Amino acid sequence: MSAITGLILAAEDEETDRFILNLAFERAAVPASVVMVNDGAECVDYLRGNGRFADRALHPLPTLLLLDLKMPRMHGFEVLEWLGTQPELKDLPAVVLSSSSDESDIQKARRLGARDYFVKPQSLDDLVGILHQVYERWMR
Amino acid sequence: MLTRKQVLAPRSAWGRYSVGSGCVVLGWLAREALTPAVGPTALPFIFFFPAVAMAAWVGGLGPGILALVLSAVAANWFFVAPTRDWALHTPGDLATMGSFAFSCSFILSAIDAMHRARARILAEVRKREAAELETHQQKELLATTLASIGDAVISTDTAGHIVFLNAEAAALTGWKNSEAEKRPLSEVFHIINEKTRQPVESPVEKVLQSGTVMGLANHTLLIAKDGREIPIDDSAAPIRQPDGPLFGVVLVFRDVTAQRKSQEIAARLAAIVEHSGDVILTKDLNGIIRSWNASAERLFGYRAEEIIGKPITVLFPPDRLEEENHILGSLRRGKPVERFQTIRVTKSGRQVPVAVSISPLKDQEGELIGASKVVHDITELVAAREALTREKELLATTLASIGDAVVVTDAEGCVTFLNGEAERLTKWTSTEALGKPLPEIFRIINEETRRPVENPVEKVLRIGGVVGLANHTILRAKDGTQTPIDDSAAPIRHANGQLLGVVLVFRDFTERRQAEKELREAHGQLADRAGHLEKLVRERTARLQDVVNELQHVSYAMAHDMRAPLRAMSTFASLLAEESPNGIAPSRAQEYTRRIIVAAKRLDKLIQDALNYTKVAQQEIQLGPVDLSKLVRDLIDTYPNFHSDKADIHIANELPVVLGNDSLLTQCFSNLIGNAVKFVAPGVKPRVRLSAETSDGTARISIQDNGIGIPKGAQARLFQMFQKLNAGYEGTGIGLAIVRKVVERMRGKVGVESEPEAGSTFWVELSLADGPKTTKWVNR
Repeated sequence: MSAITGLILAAEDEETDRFILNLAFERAAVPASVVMVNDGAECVDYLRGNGRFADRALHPLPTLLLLDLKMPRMHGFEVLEWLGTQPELKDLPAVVLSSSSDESDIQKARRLGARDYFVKPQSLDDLVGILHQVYERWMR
Repeated sequence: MLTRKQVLAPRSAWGRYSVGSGCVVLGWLAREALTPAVGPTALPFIFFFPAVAMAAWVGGLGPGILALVLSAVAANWFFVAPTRDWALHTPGDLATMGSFAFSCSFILSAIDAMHRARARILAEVRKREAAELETHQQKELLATTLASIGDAVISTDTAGHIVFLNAEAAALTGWKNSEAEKRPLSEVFHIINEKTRQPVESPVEKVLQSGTVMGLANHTLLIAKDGREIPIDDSAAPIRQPDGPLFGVVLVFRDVTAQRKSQEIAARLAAIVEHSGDVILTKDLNGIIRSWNASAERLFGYRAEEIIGKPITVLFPPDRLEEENHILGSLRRGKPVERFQTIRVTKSGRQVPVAVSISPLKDQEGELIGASKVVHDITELVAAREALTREKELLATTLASIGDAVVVTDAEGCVTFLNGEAERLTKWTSTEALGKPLPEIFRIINEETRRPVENPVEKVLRIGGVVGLANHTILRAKDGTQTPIDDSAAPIRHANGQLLGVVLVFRDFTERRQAEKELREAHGQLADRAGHLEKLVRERTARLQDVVNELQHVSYAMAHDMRAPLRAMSTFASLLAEESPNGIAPSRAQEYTRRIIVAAKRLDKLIQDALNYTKVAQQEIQLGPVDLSKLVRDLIDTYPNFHSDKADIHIANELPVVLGNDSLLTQCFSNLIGNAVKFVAPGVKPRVRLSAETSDGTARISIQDNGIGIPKGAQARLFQMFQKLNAGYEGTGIGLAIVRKVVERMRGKVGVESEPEAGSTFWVELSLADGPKTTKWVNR
């Protein structure tokens, strides 16, 4: 295992999906730390350093954002929209990982600044492959 | 014969005898005077001789004899001795007396002879004078005649030199008589042939050679002194004594310009007649054809030589023979026949419609001698006229039966035609209206101002062009009836542009106006209907769009939400399968199995909710009065979660009876109250308050909770399908979508007012049922 080179902030509302994502990160063994938040609103709080995320030593800014789209309180699109308005975060790559394979969702995500879009796969191995790709493309 | 009296001085017999007696007295007195000298008886007769001579000379023979007798008596009485005595006493006396008588007789006869000779000479002179006078007068007469005669006359001597030239000859030749006299004729009378222009031999020469009269030479031109060329005809005749020698020639000629012209005219007229396109023929009073031109030959087929001399009636059809009598009768009365239209027959038997004009022919004395006929073949004219008549009838019929009213006026604006419709509208009959000025017949006023409108015909006559429709015009008929009309008027022009009149066309506008009104109404209705339809289409489209949207939501949910539990089941089943061979920890295997079961349940719940939503959205529902107070109390009784040990649910005022569907409203309120009870902070006892307000037939029911609230940004998508706002609470996110669908299907509204952490108030607006009594009655 090589040295940790980055921090991935993953926003996922479904507890089951979070569990699977964690498993996948373990298997993928990308040299990066992973932080999970439960929805879009929490994701934005993290990035702004609001509330419990105020301490940047404990909660440093991520080097990659992995976003689900359909989340309570704040949708993935809303997060992307907000991100576009934050100049200091313009270098933070956002990658969407969603159940939706709807073309309009893909287009909208791209328009709002997502660097990549992956549909959640049915098997764990495929998810591991996706995580590898994401790391190779955006974190090396 | 001249008498003595005429020869002698014109004295009366008494005078002459008195003179004779006086001469005797003078002789007596003279002898008496001599008596002192010679004695009383000497020379008794001496002075009686001259007395007798004087008496005879002056008085003639009678007075001379008287003087002789008186002298003898006087001498015997006074101077023969013895004096105063008659007797002759001596023979000497007797002899003396005898001698005296004898001498005196001799003197008397001599003087008488002298008288007679003188008288003869005098008569001769008189006679010659009379003859000379007569000759002179005749010469004058001839000269005057020649001078003033219309023909030109030149006379020459035998050498051909001009002797005389009359005024006309002077005028034609340009030579005066005085200039021309004695000149050779050829110098003055210079003639050439009209055609060859070669000099022509003078007729005088020919007469001088032949000694006979020379006739006219044709086509002779006289070249006058000043160069004028005058066509003449001439003749020359010898001048000779009867049976005597030739002593000159008289040349007579005349200017034939006028004659030539009249001949030319006559020839031209003849040619015109002969070659006229019209048939021209003449006949005499017996109806016998006398002349026949080329056109006659063409029309009738008879040649001139075969028809001339035949009766004109050969050209008549048998049934029209009596026409000739009328024509001849008319001619005899001196009347011409103008364009008499009839039928004539050609040589081949064809009948030709013709127009015949017949004029009497008169001779120079004005005596009727026949007739000239000009015959026109009017076959085409008749055909054209028939066509015109047909066309005219067609037009008249058209105008009469046309639906529009038509009035025609002349250029003065007086009515010349009125068709049936115009009669109906104006209430004037044609016979009444004809000739009347149009404004009398066609009285129009403006519909709104009620003031007279300018008559369109007057306007046409003024501007000369078509006058279009005047709007809102009312025609006032003769009986006062008012009809709305529209009209137009147009000028009628002759081909040369002259204005002949005006045609006015108008129509009863009543029906059309009615039709227009109906049309407008129909349009309005159609527009309403269309608007309604459009609204309906919009509504249906919107509803369809909703259905489509819902279907999209459902399919999206299928694609998204339902895949998640499947994905979980697949993943954990794989992990189980993957790890089991290596000896999986029982807790881990349990965990994976539990997750698979949870996912399967969730999938089932999602499918149920989706089906339920579809049912709510699609099923046929019937609306009726629903008592919401009862409905809510039943709900509270039914659901354990709503019991007072779990939640405080308070109905603040009596909820109304609304128009709705009982089972759908049950779902709606169970979801709303369920949400209010569910979304509370952990450890907080839910408090729910239901209240109602009514206004304008609408009830607004509010459900207020003390829950966690909803972020502002999420409120918009709160009522969409499969929207879960909070990850920490159970649910598929379909409850509020069902609420919205139920309310919409009852034509109501749903909404929320909420502050995060401060609770939410959901509200539903529904129609009130008609009234409590009706409601209850219907409910039962």
